[in-house]
Amino acid sequence: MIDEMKTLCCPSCGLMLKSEDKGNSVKCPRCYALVIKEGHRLSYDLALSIAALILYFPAMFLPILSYKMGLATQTGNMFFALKYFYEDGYELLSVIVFFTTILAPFIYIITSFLMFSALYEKRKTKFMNMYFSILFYLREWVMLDIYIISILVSIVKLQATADVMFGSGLIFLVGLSLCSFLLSNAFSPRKIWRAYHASDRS
Amino acid sequence: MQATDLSTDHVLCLHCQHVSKTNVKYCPVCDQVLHQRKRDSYVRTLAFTIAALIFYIPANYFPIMKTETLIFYENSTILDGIFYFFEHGEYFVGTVIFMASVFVPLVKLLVLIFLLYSVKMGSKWKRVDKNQLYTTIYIIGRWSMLDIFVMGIMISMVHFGDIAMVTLGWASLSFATMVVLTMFATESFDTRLLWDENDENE
Ligand SMILES: [Zn+2]
Ligand SMILES: [Zn+2]
Repeated sequence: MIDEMKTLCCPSCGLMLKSEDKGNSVKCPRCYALVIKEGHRLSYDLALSIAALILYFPAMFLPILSYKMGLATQTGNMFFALKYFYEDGYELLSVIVFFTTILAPFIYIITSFLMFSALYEKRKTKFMNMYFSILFYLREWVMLDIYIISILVSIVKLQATADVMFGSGLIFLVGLSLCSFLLSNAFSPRKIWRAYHASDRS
Repeated sequence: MQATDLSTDHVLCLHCQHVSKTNVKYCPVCDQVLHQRKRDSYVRTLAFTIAALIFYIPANYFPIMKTETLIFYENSTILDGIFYFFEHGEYFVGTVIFMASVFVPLVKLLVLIFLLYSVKMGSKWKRVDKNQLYTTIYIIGRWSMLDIFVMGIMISMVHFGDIAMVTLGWASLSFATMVVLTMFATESFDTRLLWDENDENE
């Protein structure tokens, strides 16, 4: 199976290529797109998914910012926002925001963990196809990086009117977003399938 | 003419990058259904692009956020929000929001229309740059969600009952829908259509 993976074809222009297969990244000579992206070792992905899993819960449930106006203090994170979206009658919007900042990251991290731990231990898994498809399609819908920038923008916006204080969740959120960014950057289909088929031979 | 998957009867699996012969129906490595080109790429991209363009107009025209305090009530559109930042000297944040909410979606839609037009015309002009353009809009497109997240945080922070309230305007829903539609449109487009010989399109 792995030996058959030597013929290459550029995914963005369709040019057929021959691979020297040295484990390097390969660029297409016609359209300059990246044809092969060699990832890191499996332990790198596994470590990142474990770190992300640990950071996820404090990042999501601890308050991110607090805001003081007069005597009243308001503490916020995305869950409060969703509650208000929903109460104001913007159900669809709350679904989109919930999906991109809370649900998709969670599914992505859990799936990464399950898949990479199976590959790392060379365990056979029936769900390999499902795991891979989830990661493949969900990747661009995990918007934690954008969420972090939006918090920075909100701080600037709110500062004009009142005191803004950082909540304890923010530091976890920054860590989580970094881990998930590195994790999705390291995603290399070729490496994953190669590891999978290597495990069913041994 | 250079050898492509079409001219040599090969088919590339977009999931795992394994190259098979065209008589193979399912990828032997990852079990996906194989197609030489993304199915109905042209029509799907066109449909999503037009739908996104329709939503682009109300998203920018109608108020996206309502601010209510004891002394004032304000409806603001996306552009009002950006002007606010510039008036208060927050040039950096103003620019970020402008890029994410106004510039990126518009450029993305224009690029998609341009690419679809090139495919239709079978144009061979600057194909490398068109590929690059596609990759760029693919990467930056999701950043348009920024403003939605900012509003989410603002709403959850500024929620003091009668004293001060921030609520959503109708445009926020059109805006989020528009962003999701442009993401689908980009996803549906197959850059290989730009490189295929004329009679092979569609
Ligand atoms: Zn190419
Ligand atoms: Zn495959």
